[in-house]
Amino acid sequence: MKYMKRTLAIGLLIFVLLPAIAFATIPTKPSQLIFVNDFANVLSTSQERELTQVLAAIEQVTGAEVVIVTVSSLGNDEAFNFAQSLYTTWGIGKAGKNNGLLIFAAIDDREFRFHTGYGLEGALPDSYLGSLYREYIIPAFGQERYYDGLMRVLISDNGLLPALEKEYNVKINTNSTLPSRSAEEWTQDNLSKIITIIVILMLFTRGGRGLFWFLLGTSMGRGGSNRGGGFGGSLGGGFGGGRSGGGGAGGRW
Amino acid sequence: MNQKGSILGVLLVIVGVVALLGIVLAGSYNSFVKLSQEIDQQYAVIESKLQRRYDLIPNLAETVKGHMAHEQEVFGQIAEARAKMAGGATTDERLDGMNQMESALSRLLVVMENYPQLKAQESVNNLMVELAGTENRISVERDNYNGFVQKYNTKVKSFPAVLMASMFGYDERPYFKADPRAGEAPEIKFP
Repeated sequence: MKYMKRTLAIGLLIFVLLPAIAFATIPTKPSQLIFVNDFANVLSTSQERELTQVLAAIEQVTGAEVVIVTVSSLGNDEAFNFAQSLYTTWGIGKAGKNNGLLIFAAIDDREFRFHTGYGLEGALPDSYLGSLYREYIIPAFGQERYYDGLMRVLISDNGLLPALEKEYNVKINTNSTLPSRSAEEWTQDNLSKIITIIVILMLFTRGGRGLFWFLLGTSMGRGGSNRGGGFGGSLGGGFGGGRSGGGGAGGRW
Repeated sequence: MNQKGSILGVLLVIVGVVALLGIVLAGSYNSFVKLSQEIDQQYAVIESKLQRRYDLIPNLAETVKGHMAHEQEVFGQIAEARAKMAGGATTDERLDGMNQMESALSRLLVVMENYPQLKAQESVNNLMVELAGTENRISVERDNYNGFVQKYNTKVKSFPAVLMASMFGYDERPYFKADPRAGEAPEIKFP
């Protein structure tokens, strides 16, 4: 009797938890227009701020909603289906104009997708987005330089920013610059060494305890998304309610 | 007096019920028209996406043909399916041609895997991306189409609209199904 109760409880627990494990759920729609939604936590706060600045400037001048979403895993879903559901649930782009672009990455699955709304299919054809993917995303994401790849996609000479400027015949001012590749690479190569040194410091010095708590604090603080971008939308905030017909490009990096 | 009043009352109730029924039925008739027009419009959307594919697949075939001299069979299949799609008189025939095109295309893509040098070509890459995009669009619009059909069929089959529907020839509409032979959707990978 005692065992039966326990078995029942465990069974119930598994039953409750199973759907959460088996199916990846589409992230809940933010109540504000948030341009960078780093659910996979691969961008630092300052990197999110930099990207948001560019995307907010695009939205402000052209009305087009270009939104970055990273997730850890697709669950059992395909990248296209996941991106399409996400796009539809969130309603990226203004209603009627459907001028949205979802820049989507599932980090653990190494799947990337540009997903265009109906209204941007002409300005950003699939083959163009595919070439951006091959030129900037594959090399950078392959080395886990996510910010580098995303920034290059946005502000390179053949990137999204110039393409949208041309489409809407406007000038979009940002003071963003391309990240210096060598500095990024140096950090990447030496990251393990830096961490080792920090760990040794923590273990062998008394002052290291303070450092430990400091590090814990900063890493916890990275979790949230940048919430500075809630302007430009309709009253009540959030995404505009745009629709997508499944356009875009992507692949496995 | 009392009897006359009650007869009048019954008559009024009958007239009222008939009028109400008329309003309800007219309303459901209008919704048949609206819903079935939505389906037709959505079909036109799918057809325009399919047209994009008719144009792309022969383009791709033409581009890779030169590198694949020993694979004439698959190019023949593509030409055949294309003829069927373009020449089909009824919706069913065109759907059949489309499904054939889908399986011919997946065979082409399988064969192309054996020619890795193709992936180094920008033109092939671009066509593959466009093709993948078209496949995706078709699947999205097909889902939308089936959504409209479901809404319509639910309406047509429910009471009391079902009386009206059979009277005016608003029958159930078929769903857009993929050919089971092409069940494994063509996977378009690059690079």
